[in-house]
This record gives sequence, structure tokens and C-alpha cells, in this order.
Amino acid sequence: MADPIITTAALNMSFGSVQALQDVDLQVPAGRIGLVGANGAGKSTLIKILLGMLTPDSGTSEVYGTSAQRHPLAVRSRVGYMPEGDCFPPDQTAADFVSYTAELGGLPASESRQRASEVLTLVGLAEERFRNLGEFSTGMKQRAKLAQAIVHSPELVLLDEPASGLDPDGREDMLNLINRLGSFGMSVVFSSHVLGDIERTCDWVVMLNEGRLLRNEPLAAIRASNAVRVVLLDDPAPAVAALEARGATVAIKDRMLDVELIDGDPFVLIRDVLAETRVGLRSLGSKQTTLEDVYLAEEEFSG
Amino acid sequence: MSSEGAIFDLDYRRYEGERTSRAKIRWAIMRDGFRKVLGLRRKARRKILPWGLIIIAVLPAIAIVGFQVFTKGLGADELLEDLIPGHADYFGLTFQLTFLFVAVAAPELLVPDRVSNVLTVYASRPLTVADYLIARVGALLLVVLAFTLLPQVVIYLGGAVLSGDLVGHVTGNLDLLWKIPAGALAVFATQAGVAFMISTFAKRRGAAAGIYIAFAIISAGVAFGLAENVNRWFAVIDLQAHAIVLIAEIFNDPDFTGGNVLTENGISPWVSLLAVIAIAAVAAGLLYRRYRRIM
Repeated sequence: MADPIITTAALNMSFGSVQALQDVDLQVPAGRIGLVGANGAGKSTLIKILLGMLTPDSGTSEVYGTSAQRHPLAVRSRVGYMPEGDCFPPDQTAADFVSYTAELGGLPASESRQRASEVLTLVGLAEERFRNLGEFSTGMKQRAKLAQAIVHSPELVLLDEPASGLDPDGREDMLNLINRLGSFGMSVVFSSHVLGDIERTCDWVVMLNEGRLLRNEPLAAIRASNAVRVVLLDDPAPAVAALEARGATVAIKDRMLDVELIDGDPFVLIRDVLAETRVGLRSLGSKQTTLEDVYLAEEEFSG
Repeated sequence: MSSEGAIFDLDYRRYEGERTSRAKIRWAIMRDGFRKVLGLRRKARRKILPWGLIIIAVLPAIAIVGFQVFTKGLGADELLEDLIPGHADYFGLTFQLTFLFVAVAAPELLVPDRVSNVLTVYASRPLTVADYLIARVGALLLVVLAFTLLPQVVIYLGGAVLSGDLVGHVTGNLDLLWKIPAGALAVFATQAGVAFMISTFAKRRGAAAGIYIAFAIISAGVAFGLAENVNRWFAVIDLQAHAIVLIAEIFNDPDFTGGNVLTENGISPWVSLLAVIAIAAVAAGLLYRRYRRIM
């Protein structure tokens, strides 16, 4: 891995009796990173620790090699943050607020005004930029939140559930915007419990469940699978027995089988077994592993 | 006219210039607070209350200068000089207005940021809790100074112009150049601490202003009653009275404290000074502690 932009070691955090993070060790490269997990998995807690907004019970966290606990201001000067909930003064225009947040990020006042205008245009709020934020719809608020997160040219943007509460069109627009951030030279950490959104936008996945790290690897590695999915017309029992007798691992769901073979070509084996057992075949193909499959399997495995 | 058109996608332009210092960031927060309180860059209805109070505070000063012009025209200016309120008197005249102004301004600076969760944005930027609070207190100081000084400046300049000897008026009243800001500071220090403490917990601006006003009225009544009937030291509970005592000391004008619960109970002005410092210290500690937890 190239130089990691985020590193955590033995990170633990609890709120009363709730263990939000448990021994989280991470090394994450630059790029578009999906932070996946159910509600309460520890995603927001991890993001807030990386910003130095929360102090972990134990362990360390670094962003671009700088400790988020010891030098939070140095970290925040390189990072943008889009919180999950609302964060706007309702009586201020989008242009005024985004310009103000640019100044808070260390940009001169004259530059801030210009950049606020540019960034609001980029997120599709050019027409609405002089309207009060209190009059914005949910979709417009999400865009404005993204604008304030990127207006000061951060190197890394932490997006906490950016597509939450959006209708399908709004979600589509938001995902497209997130996809574009990479081309602006920004790394993105995109937290979501909607696995499909992560699959569409990210190239690296960090998977959390109940505060524990399940996966931390490239999306391509997670999706790679040697399994072959077979759907049969007849009773699968004879075919399953024959496949297992020849060393294959078979997962069965009704008449659908996922067949894995460590040595040899699984397609050849399935062809031979079906010919021998005379079981009818409906379909055959490589199994596409989704994040959902991996997540459910990991969740089941971890208990 | 050209028949060819082009669409330029400006895309995202990275900022490669120098980042400003934390002092500049604090100044940005202070400027934002100043605008908030005065309703600048906000809808018209947000301007009514602050500007209404400012106009009410300045109008008597303009009237005083007008009266001076009138009496000078009649040649009766020296005869009526004692009738014209001086700078200390004007603090007394606008004291309740300043009190109302602080009651409105302090919640405006703290409550919306907290209730609308804007603190999350501040917390994600390169600034500390102390930076935020110092800038917000600074914003209130700036507006309260402006509020109290503006009419004083009108009177001062009016007097200077009417004297016909601008330099002579300034050199003859050099002490006012520190006394007027010091008086304004005394008013601010007495009132801001309690107003901020209440605003730190209130969920609505109106409620915070109402609680502050009620607190001031009740504490004055309680101080008077207990000092009369139990012990004279209960007079120190009347926080507003401390500001009056300090202004009287600054302007060396004992008449100014007529009817003041502290003076009538023989409480030294030094106690008032200590009380104001103590309120400011407690308020600063409470604010910092509370915001460390929520920001």
C-alpha cells in the first residue's frame, strides 16, 4: 500500500456501557473509501475521532501522519467534514454561510466569497445560493453541507451518511458528486449503511460491525470470488452429494447452489456431475459477490 | 453576433494560497457575531429590535446637541448648562436600554449555533473552543461598546463643535477619552456574564432574554428586601447596581448613585469591582466547561 492517509491502532471508544469501537486497527490509502456498517456500527464515532472531536479511551489515530488527538487543528486544516444531521443557521443565505465556513477553514475573506460561489455552483445550488438555508429542502441541504465541507480545499473529506434522506434522483446526484471529488484531488471517506452506494462510489472498503473491524481492503478484493452459481431444474441432492464427494464446497438455497473448488475448474466439474446425475440445469455462471453478501457472511461469522 | 457558443465547466479550483492565522479565524467569528446581533445580511425583521434600541439610545443625544445649538443661539447656553445631561448622566439615561440590548444580543450569539447544530461545523475547523468563545464574547463587547459609545460620541463631538474650539475642547476633556470607554466596559462586564451564562443553557433566544430580564428584576428586589431586613451585604446580589456604582466612581459623580442599594448600605465600590470580576470569572469558567462538552 502507498502511504496510508488514515492510520489507527488499537482504537477503543465507549459511551457508558456501549462499546462504540473495539481495537480498531486501520491503514487506509488515498482514494474513495467506503465506511460501511449498520446504524450504531461505530462509523460516526470513528469519523469524529479522526477529526479530533472525540478522544478515544485508548489507542491512536493519525491522518496524513498527524495525530488527531495531539494535533487536531493541524488535522482539521487538511480535512473537510459533512455531518449527518443539519448544521445550518436557518436565517443565513447559502452563499453567506459557505463563504463564512471557508474563512473558518483558513481562507482569506476575499477568496472565500468567490470560492463559495464556485462550490455552490458545483453542487448545483447556483440559483438558490441567495436563499436562506432555512427554506432549503432536504436535498438542497445535503448539497449545501457538501459545499461547506469542500469549500476550503481539504485534501480529505469525511462524509457522514451524505445520501441519507434523499429521494432516488437526489441520491443519484449526490453519488455522482462524490464520484467527482476524486478528480478534484480529494480523498473521500464516505460513510453509509447502504452497501449499494458504497459499491458504486468507492474503491476501498472499511467494514465495521458493533464497533469491530470486519474488513479493510480494496473493493475489488472483496468482490473477487471463485464460486460458481448453479440453478437446477430438479432435486439438487444427487448433484450436491457428487460435488462434495469430489472435493467441492457447496452452499445450497432451494435449487440454487454456490459451488467452490480449490483445485481444478469448477465449471468442468459441474458439467461432469450434472451429466452423471442427470439433473436438469436452468443456469450457470460466476457468482458476483456483493458487499451485502460479504457483510451478511461476516456478521453471521462474528456472531 | 457570434453564432458559436461554448459552455465552460469551471470545475473545482483548488486553493493553493496561504492559509490565514487563527487570529483571522477568530476575527471572522467575531464579525459574524456582530452581523448576527445587528441583523446585518439578514431579513428586515431581524433588524427591527437591535436598530430600534440603537435609535432610541442615540435620539436623546441628538436632542441634547440640538438643545445646545438652540440655547447657544439664544445666548442662554451658560445659563442652562446645568440642565444639560453630561456623559455620566447619559450612561444612566441609556442604562436600561443597554440592559435590554444585552438581553437580546447575548442569546443571539450563542443559542442559534447550539440549537441549529452549527457548532459541529466550528468543531470540524482548525479552531478551539476557546477561540469560538473569545470571538463571541468579543462580538458582544464590540456591539455593546458601539451601543453605549455612539450617543456619547454624538454628545462629545456636539460639545466640541459648539465650543468653537475643537482642539481646546478635546484637550480640556482628555479624561473623557478613557472615562467613556471605561464606563461602557463596566456596563458590559456587569451584564454580559450573566446573560451569557443563561444563553449557554437556554434553547430559545426569547426565553434566554426573558430569563435574564426576570433574573435582573428579581435579584434587584431580593437584594433590596434582604439588605433592608436581614443583612446589608445582601445588597451585592443586585448585579445591575454594581455597574451604576462603577460608573459613578469612574466619573467621580456621587449624585449618580442616588437611591442605589449598594451605596445606601455602605458597600464599598471596591466590592462592586470584585463582584464584577467574580461574575466574569465564573461565567468564563462555566461557558468553557459547557462548550468543551458539547463542541
